[in-house]
Amino acid sequence: MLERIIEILEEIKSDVDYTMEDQLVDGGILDSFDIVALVSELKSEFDVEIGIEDLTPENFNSAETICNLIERLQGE
Amino acid sequence: MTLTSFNFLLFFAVILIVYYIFPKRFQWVLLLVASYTFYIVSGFAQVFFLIGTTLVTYFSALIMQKRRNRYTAEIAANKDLGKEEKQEIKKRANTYIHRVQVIAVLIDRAVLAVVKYSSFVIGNLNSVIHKIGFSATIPGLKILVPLGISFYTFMSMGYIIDIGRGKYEAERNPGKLALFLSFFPSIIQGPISRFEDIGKKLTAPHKLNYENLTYGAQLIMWGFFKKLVIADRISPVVSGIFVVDYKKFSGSLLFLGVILYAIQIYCDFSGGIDITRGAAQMLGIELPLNFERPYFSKSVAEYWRRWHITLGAWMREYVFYPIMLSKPISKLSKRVKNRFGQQKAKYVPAVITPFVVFILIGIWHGANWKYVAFGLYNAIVVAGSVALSPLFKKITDKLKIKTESAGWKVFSIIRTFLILMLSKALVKSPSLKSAGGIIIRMFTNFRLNPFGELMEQEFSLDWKNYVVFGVALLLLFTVSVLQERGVKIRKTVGKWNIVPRWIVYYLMLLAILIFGIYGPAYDASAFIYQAY
Repeated sequence: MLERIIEILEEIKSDVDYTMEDQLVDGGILDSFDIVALVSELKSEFDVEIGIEDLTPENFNSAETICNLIERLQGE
Repeated sequence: MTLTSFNFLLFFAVILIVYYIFPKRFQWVLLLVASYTFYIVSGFAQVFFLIGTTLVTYFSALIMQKRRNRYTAEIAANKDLGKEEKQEIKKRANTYIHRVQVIAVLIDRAVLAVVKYSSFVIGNLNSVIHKIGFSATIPGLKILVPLGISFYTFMSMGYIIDIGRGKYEAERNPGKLALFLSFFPSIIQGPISRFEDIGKKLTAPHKLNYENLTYGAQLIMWGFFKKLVIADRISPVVSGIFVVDYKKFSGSLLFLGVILYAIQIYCDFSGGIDITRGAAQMLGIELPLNFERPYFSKSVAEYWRRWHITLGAWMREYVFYPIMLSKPISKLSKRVKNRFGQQKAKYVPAVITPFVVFILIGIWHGANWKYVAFGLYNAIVVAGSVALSPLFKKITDKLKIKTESAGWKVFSIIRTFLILMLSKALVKSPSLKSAGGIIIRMFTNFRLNPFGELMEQEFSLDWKNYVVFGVALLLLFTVSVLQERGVKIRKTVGKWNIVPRWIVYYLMLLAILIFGIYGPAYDASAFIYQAY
């Protein structure tokens, strides 16, 4: 799942090392428009409901935290 | 009682002393009593609006919380249920919570709409009625806009929506929620705080802390300096320039007037916020940042992330994301993505949403067509820059412009400042019609020496006052540049030896006392944002 998330991230914004980066939101790498594009991709790719309450920097700061979020939402 | 009045300082000093003598667990009760006293002194009848909003907020949040708890208990008691059945239970709970949320937010909005916008709507309806030939007039409602209503209503709506989304638990103590909505340093002009950020801080026990006291006092002094020495000094000049018969001035003077207004409004609003945050810090409470040197922004979008930060954050959380993630916008994005690819799909909603967000920001400032135009202008600039960003990138690449170079950054800052000047002219002009005239004149009626014309006009300011203004501005600019470079001014000064440190404190105090502009009966003029 992590590889696919990194692929989606690269489609939205290239030139970022998503395997290492852990400040995607707090570091200003992804802006709110990127987040929205990412959420709509994640929703259709993994068939999960991502609510506005899930849009926190902690959930979107790295590919790994995004992966954790998807796994949590799939379990609900 | 404005934040720069002598009465406020006296009031705050008394509260501060009693606060640290008071039993720690009841400190928040003292703050609540102080907040309501402050509010009632500012206007007795207005307090009923605040109480009404607090009650709606409190009970709607409790009802939503109760339903959410029932849902959690239902799921816990029926662990064997299948995924679909669980989802059905969740859906039922969410529908109920959503209904309560919508009703509560609508009540909040209705109150705000009636007190703030009814005369605007009725006035426009009357002019339409008269234009089509009827002589009847709809009578207007005579309601005084309650102090800080835009600020506490937005905080209330944010809280209700957060509870509806299940972000955190509803506050069960009505007094604690009432304090969140009425905290006296911030009720006049924000910042628009969120319960999850300050709710616990407001009600936690606070020990006397030397750093909080001195840093808070420093921030208060800096706020006084910006408001009384800079903003209020230049205020009569700005008011003298933006008048209905602006045609008596050259375009260059009008242009200079807009720049002076940009300085005035920044020092007025951010100075007030400094006093608010400083006072709160002295009480051991950290309020969110509302300004981050916005005039150093390199784009209008960045400016809106650095000016009135808490309003921008509110709009992002409760307007921007819900619209962007709504079904129609998602569908539209998908269609564009399938046809033109991911990059283009990103731009479609990004171009649409600024119109909703910025028109709302415009209307938030006041009930007047000029604020709608202000919102529209900002939306066009932000949406335009998003839509044209690939083209800009191509141009800069082709011209081999190093966008990371200092020269380009300075150019971007000046360009952004000039773009913003037009929106400032819209806000300050007496009406939308005169705003158009002023903006056109700014670019068509050029005169070489606007400073000479400024002195000729004698806006109740002599040359000495302009010198004080210039020196104060230079100090503000120097401090801002240092802060941009990451220097923590208050921390740096706080670490100096006692002699130079106190020399700085005394100089600042003297500067405020000697060069501050005080209104009649030692009551400084009101804040501009107090009216929003």
